[in-house]
Amino acid sequence: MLEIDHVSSGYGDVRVLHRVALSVEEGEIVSIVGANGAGKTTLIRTIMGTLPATAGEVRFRGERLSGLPPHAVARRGMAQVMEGRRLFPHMSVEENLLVGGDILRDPARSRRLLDWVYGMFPRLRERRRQLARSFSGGEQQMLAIGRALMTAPRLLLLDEPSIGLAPVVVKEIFARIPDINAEGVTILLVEQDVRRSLKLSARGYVIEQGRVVLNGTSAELLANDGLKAAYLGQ
Amino acid sequence: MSSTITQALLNGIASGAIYGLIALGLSLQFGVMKIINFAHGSFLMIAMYLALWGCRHLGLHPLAVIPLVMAALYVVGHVTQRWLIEPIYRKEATREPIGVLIFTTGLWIFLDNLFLVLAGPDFQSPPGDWPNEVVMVGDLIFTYPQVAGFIVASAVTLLLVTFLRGTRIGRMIRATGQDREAASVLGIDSAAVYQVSFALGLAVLGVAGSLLLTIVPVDPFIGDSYGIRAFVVVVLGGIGSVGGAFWGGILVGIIESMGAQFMPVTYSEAMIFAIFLGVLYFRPAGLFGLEEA
Repeated sequence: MLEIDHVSSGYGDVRVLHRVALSVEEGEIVSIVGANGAGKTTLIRTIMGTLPATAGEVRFRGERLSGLPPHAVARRGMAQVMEGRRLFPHMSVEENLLVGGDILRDPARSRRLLDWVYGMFPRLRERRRQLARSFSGGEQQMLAIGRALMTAPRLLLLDEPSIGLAPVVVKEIFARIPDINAEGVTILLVEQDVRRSLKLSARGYVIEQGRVVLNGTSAELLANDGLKAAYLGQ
Repeated sequence: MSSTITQALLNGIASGAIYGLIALGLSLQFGVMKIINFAHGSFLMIAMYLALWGCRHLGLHPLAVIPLVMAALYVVGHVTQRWLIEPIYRKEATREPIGVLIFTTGLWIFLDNLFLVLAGPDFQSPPGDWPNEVVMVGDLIFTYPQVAGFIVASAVTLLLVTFLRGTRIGRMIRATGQDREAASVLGIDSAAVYQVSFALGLAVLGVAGSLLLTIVPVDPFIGDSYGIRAFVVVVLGGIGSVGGAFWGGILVGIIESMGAQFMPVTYSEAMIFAIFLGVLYFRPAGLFGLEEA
């Protein structure tokens, strides 16, 4: 479904990603793990088209995405939950969600998606008239995920959903990821929380300094000595 | 309250509603695109000349030209954004849009002088007596343009606010203004949103220019004073707040008209700018604390 074919990118003269290659098949949950500054967010932004690839290409459902702006990528069925949530602060919870559905131009379908999202995160329904900025970090993350799901994506890019959240809240949010996947949404999960994210996914890639240094099934990665020493504190 | 004071207050509110309407487009453009359009006053001047042309050559009533000027300014706005501002904006995607600011300043000087050549330096007004007719309410006297200006300006403001809050396109405009990248990854084309926002801002300015022409004559440099005033109104109302611009306009109208009762006009002008500087210093988010576009 998604192929990252030896992609390089960066900011100005600073090259962050070096010929990264990875793929995601339809229906999978795949993790990309690595330390802070390894290039995970840069990779997500390059896939989405927010940042242009300087070499290599990204293919999504058989189509080359190179050069497409992010809104065009989104309209092809990809959604990104941005690092730091990036909600619309002066809009209510429900308006934030409705913006996600706006590109579908189908109010009835937006309504159904809204019910689906509310069913998944009942707290959003309870607080739908409140301003998004009045929310706790966990509620904001739920809203950010819900807003991305409102675009009815085939592939969901989740960028650091656990960042800055209490463990109990992270657990609650991560519990929803398999549910979303079960509804037919393929998931690419980018995380610093290596153990939690690999436990959720079937396969994973480890990124260090902008390069894929290790990949395999989650069980293999969790058993890898180098990974254990570097990320799992064992 | 004596009737002189009441009259001054109501006169201030009537002209203030038009000041607010002039500032509305500027506030919308700033709120959504974060660009400062220094050519705003010149576009107001163009709107007034178009209205004048409609009255003189098509024989239309000063109020009947409004839809025409509005449509023309929408097109001018779309073309300006799409073909003049967007290419500059694109090149500066990674830094503050200083080039756009300098470009609109150049456009301001260019348009003012272009109209000096095309229309000459004279002050011109639409034909007919309608602007001088009055309504009397007890001791109070209002001209037709005052009454029409207040009603139309309030209605257009209300319409725009309702459009931004209640429609799909309005929601996409607000989302882009609040976080462009977050909106774009949800599939919203920010270039298209900018075109609509800039064009809408100028369409509203078209209404304001038509109304202003019924109160003051047009000359090639009329935009300078009213354009600067629009900046004051936007800052008072809260930069980027469409509703706030309306109240900011009313406030400036009242200060101007009440001030004239007690001091020479030069002083009340100075007072408006003193308040402007004070607000920038003490309450940079504006006086009304309304939410952003």
